[in-house]
Amino acid sequence: MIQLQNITKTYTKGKKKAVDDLTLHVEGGELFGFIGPNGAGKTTTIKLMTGILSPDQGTITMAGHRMDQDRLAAQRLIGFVPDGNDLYDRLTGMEYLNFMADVYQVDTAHRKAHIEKYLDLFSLEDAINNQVRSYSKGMKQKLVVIGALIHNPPVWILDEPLGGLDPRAAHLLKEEMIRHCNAGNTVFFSTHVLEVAEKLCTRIGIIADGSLKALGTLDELRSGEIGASLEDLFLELTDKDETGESDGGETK
Amino acid sequence: MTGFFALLRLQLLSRYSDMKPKNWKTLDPKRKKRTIGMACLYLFLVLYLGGGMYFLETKVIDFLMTMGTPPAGMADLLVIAATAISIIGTLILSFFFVMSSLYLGRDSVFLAALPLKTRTILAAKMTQIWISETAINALILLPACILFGIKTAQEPLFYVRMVLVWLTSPMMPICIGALLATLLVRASALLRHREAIMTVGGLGLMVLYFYFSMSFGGMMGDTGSGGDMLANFVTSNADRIQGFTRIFPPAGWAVRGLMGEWGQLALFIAASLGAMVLLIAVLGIWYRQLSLIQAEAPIAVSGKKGIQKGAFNTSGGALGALVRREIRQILRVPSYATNILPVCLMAPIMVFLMGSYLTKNLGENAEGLTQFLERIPGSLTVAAIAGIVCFMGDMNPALSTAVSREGRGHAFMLGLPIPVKTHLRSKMIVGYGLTALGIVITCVAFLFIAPPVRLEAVLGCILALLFCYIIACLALERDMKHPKLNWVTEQEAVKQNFGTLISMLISLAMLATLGGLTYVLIDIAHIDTWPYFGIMFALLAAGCIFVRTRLFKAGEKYYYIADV
Repeated sequence: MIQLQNITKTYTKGKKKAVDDLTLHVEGGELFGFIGPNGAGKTTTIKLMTGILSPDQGTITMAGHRMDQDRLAAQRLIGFVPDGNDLYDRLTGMEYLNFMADVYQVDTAHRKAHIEKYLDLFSLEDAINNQVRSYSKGMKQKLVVIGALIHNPPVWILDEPLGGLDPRAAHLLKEEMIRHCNAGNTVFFSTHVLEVAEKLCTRIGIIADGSLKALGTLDELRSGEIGASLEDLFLELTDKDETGESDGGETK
Repeated sequence: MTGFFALLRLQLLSRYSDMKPKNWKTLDPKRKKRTIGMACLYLFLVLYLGGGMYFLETKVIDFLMTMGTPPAGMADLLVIAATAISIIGTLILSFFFVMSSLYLGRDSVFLAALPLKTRTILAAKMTQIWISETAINALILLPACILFGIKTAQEPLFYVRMVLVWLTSPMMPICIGALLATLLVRASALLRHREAIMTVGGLGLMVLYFYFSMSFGGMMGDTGSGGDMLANFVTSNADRIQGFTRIFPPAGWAVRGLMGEWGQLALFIAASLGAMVLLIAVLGIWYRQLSLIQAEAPIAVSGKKGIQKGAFNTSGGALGALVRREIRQILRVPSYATNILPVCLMAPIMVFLMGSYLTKNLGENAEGLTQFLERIPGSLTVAAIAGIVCFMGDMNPALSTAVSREGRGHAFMLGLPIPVKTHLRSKMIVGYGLTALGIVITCVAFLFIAPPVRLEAVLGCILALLFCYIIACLALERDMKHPKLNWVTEQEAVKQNFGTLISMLISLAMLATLGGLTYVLIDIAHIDTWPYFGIMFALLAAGCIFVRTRLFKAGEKYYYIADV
């Protein structure tokens, strides 16, 4: 479903490599967790996957549509929740959702069903006519999630989706993510919370300094010499003083 | 006083830090280029305005002399016009700046938490506004006065009076702006759409103010002499001053003071300083409370909870959605509304009001005006009207900040499946649409003001529409290539945007070039109205096609390159 082939992206006129020769394939039905320390290249990778940035080298393919050749078709397959939500806070919640529905050309019946379902699920109905700037961080996050999924996309790409959500909403979103994958679709999400990745993901990728340090299922990662805990593995792989490699899963 | 100066310094730094030269050697090349660019731009503006005034003083006066009118002290006209325009211009154009600085900034809560007196905060804000407006007035007032002083060999005291008038010129207008803004804030405090109400209400209040001041001035002035108003205007300084300052009589005190009446000068200075002191003393009582009310996010009034009827109406795709979002953004973000709407709509409305007033009050002078207008070559009238309308239209910052205003949301927009052309089209529809609306209103105003030159007014406005389209495309292209996305407050996106100044510079340069071409066509080749219009139309239309094609090509290349 998602294919990143030898992706490289540099900033500051080629001086800083944010993503370095990254190759990653995520199939349908997978719930993929993307973890890494701050500045590791997670958000840049996600921006490349969603077509916001163009890679310097390599290709990105979304369900058969190459991002560099057929960007719009590829983007229509994605539901994207960005990190941080400084979005159009002078629109009301409903205006924002209608905007997203218009962009993805969702017809009235479908948008009504979707919005009503998720507003109820996230208990956001009472605030939907208020301007977004009056929302709390969690409410904004809920709104962004509802908007991103309004066209029922087969691929969900979520950058820190659980940040700011209250425990109930976080639980509901996790359930939705699992349900979406069980229907044969793909969820790719980044997180700093290792416990969430451990509990939810069918596969995990660990990125540091722009390159993939480890890739595999939790069991594959645990079977290595480094240790049984994902936290230990994460600390080991992302510690710049260490040069050791893991045998667990597919490591680089 | 320590608090006052600390706060004033903070306000000035947050507004003008980009222009601060700092240690020149340690500046990075980008900042250096920017600082040099700013200095060149300001120099260009001063030269441009100075040149324009010199042209008016020589060419226009020569033209009036050829008509046989004995122009007494025509050089005085320059100073009278410049002084009156700078004061009245501040009154018209600073209102929304005053309103956004006092009530729509994001610093109200922060400042309220500091151990500062309310009057200290208000005084620091009003001082910052005064400094900004004084700097703008320097561009208009000083070149004209210095030119006049040199040409008429004025005594040194004239320059002292000039400095005094310049420094006090914005005080009364900004105090009036602050009072009107306070009235609006108080009236709209409890309403949900208060920002839209403040913007629209602000425009309405200003229009009402001018309507009543013109009507009142008309009743008080000497308009029923039956003499030739135009002749009086040309031959008598007193009539000129009254004509120029009818809309705001204290400007007359400043003009008379500048021309040597010390009593009038003292009156103007005392009134200006008194207005500032009185405003800070009185408004200081409620300012903190009012600014805090404004800082609260509006919420839906009770009874509007839940999904409303008709909330799910579909709209016609991405273009419609983008256009609606763009319009809502401009109307609801006060910094955008107060910087974009007044420029597009205020000046045309003023022209319209003045036109209506003149039409109503000309009486038997109407025939004189008709004869005067009919003696001016039609092509020159077209050029003059086009020039004025272009100058008003190209100041619209809607497109020179169109991408920058997206801020960090720009990255999100790039992730949506929307073609670049659709993004650009939506921005052009809204940004250029506002400019075009202003031009149409101005055109209608001209039809009312000057029936003898109706055709020329329409032709001039058509040329202005084309000219402003070129500027709009170039402004959007520049902002697309160099957007300022990492802003914290919306005010930064529009007010501290280098692109706005660049597009103004381009526009002024283009206007000057077209002005030169007009001089060749009319003064040397002596061509008539229709051939002049045809040549200019063809040139501008070709320019429109070229810049539009260039914009969409550049869009494919640069829209996704922005540093997001």
